[in-house]
Amino acid sequence: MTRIQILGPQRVRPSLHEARSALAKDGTVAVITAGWEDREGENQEIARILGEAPLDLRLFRRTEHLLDDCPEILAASQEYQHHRRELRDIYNVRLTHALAAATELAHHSIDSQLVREETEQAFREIRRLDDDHLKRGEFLWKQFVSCFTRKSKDRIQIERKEIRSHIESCAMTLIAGGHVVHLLHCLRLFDLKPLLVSRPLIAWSAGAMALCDRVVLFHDSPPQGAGNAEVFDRGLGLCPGLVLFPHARRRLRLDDAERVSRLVARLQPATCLVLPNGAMLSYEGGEWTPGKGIRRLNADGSVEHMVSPIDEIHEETR
Amino acid sequence: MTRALDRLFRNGTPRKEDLASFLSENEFPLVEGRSVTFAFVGHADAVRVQHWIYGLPSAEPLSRIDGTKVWVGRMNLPPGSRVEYKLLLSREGHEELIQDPRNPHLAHDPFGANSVIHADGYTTPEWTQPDPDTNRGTLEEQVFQSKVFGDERKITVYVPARLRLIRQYPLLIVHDGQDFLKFSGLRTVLDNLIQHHEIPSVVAALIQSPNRLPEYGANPNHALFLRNELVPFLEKNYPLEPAPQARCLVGASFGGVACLHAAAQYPGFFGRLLLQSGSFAFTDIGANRHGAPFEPVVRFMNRFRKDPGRPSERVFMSCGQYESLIYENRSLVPLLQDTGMSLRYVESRDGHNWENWRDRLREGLSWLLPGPLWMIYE
Repeated sequence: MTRIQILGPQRVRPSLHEARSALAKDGTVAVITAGWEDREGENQEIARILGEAPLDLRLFRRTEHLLDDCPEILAASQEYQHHRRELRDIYNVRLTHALAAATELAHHSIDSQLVREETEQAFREIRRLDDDHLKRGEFLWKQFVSCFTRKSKDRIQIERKEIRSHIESCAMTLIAGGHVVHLLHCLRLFDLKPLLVSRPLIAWSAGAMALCDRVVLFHDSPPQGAGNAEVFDRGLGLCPGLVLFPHARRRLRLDDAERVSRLVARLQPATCLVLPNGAMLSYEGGEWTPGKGIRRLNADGSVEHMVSPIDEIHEETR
Repeated sequence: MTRALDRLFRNGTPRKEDLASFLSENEFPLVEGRSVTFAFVGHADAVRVQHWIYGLPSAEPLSRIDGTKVWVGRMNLPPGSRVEYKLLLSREGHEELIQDPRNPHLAHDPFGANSVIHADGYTTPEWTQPDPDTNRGTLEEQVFQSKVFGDERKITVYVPARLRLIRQYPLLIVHDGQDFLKFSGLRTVLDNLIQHHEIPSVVAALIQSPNRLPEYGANPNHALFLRNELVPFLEKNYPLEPAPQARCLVGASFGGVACLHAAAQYPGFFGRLLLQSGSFAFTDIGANRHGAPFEPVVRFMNRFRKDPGRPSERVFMSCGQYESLIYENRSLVPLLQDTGMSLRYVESRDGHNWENWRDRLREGLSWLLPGPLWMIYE
């Protein structure tokens, strides 16, 4: 697999320049800013950091044009989005109750073997619910793409060919953050995983999340609600065994050991890493090496600064 | 803690210079923990604080400091309270309600403006204030002929920034929409919540009835107007998601009744309801005590309480603890829960007013129509 640099959010204390230098000094840089949706391509800040204008692959615009040009893709897309929303609502109903049950058991006044086993079972049920949700999502995606006509598929291939030629003309590809679901949708629609691994890759925030096996949405203090993390969808699987949490300081209650521990237990066997502003994590030769700022969430609820290569990453089975 | 008023009277009637310092060095109403001290300087036979806190005497008297024209008094308010009031002056047999000249905080409503106490712990939510970095939606005026009412109806449509015709947007139908704009800062609230990804981009139809009480008071014609005229008109002219879960009725007071009634008339059509301080009057026994405009409301609510059905899918209700309607709203909660609808009910230490309704919009809208906050990692 290619070399990858995973970064924390880049708005404050950007580490992009450093990451780029570590991968390749020369050559044009391709960038994916589809997560910025309507603001795609407004990458002056990236250009300033790199010292040159990147080549934006414009995946969001391409997707919008596809929807404009191919009515059956538009109809299928609207139906897919509708079902995804419905599925998410249902999942959250089930998740809320399952998590409440597991949490209540974890706080049970009697600390017996039976209660411990039943608590573990309650967490297993949550993991099963998360897995089922992923499978449902995969099924909906398959249904969605099965609606494409030959003409639509050809149209997608034309776009893909152009994207491929852009990627191959560049020294590396960057994937910026933003709306992780829209970003992932574009990456999958044009089947970019095989193209992305052909060049060194830098991804941050939502871009980094999209590379994991599982995309986990999280916010411990939303405007309302319990703030239960959601195992939302399959990612591209380029960071196997990792679940990444950008903006964790703002979005996770890292000082709540019980909450952290519960999250880790739920996502096991994945390694859960926090990506603060400017953090860096490198992948090369089959090994992940944490750079500055990377922290790991541990099963006991502690948050550990990472200094040595990450061992014991468990690849997830699908 | 010795409060300023206690310190002033520590040695009996205060000296002139101590009184002058007391008035000049403090802002009034003076909030010290739960204690709120009022001060008024002027000629009067009596001065009272006229408020609308249900459960307390509606006018709290101030006392004149001997030998002066300074009036002072104290109330206890729980933390987080927000109370609107006026000063009621009695002079030579006449009474006059005035805004508190010492209080710069005003809350506006269709009848003018009241002074406002922000008790300990209350802060005006940041998301209710204009933010220069926020993209602003636009307001479009629309006119169409209503067959149901036999007249021309004007509506204002809030269109979110960066509306894209190939997308589909949820619809809010806001009763008393112009009042929500003027007195609850609805446009700013929507701009901010959308910008912060706490709600999705929405289209909001702001309706303002020319005949409010009869039309909003459980009137089948109003429900028919919403269902058969307004929604089709909007779906024809704006890129809306044609699904119950993307149709949200919003209303306060009688507007809340209009929402619940329309949803009950057409179960399943409006999948989201935001009901604020609804005038849900009913009678268990005896006659309606709320006056003639409530007659159809009471009839509807009595009927609804017997057989509520399942009018909607998700309902957010709020009510102020200082409102007379708190009893009606609280009693509706278990009834709605039993219908199988998803219900969230919140109370605030506030009254029947526009800023109370404004302050609950974030919690209500982001629950009814969650935005992409969970999806954005920049």
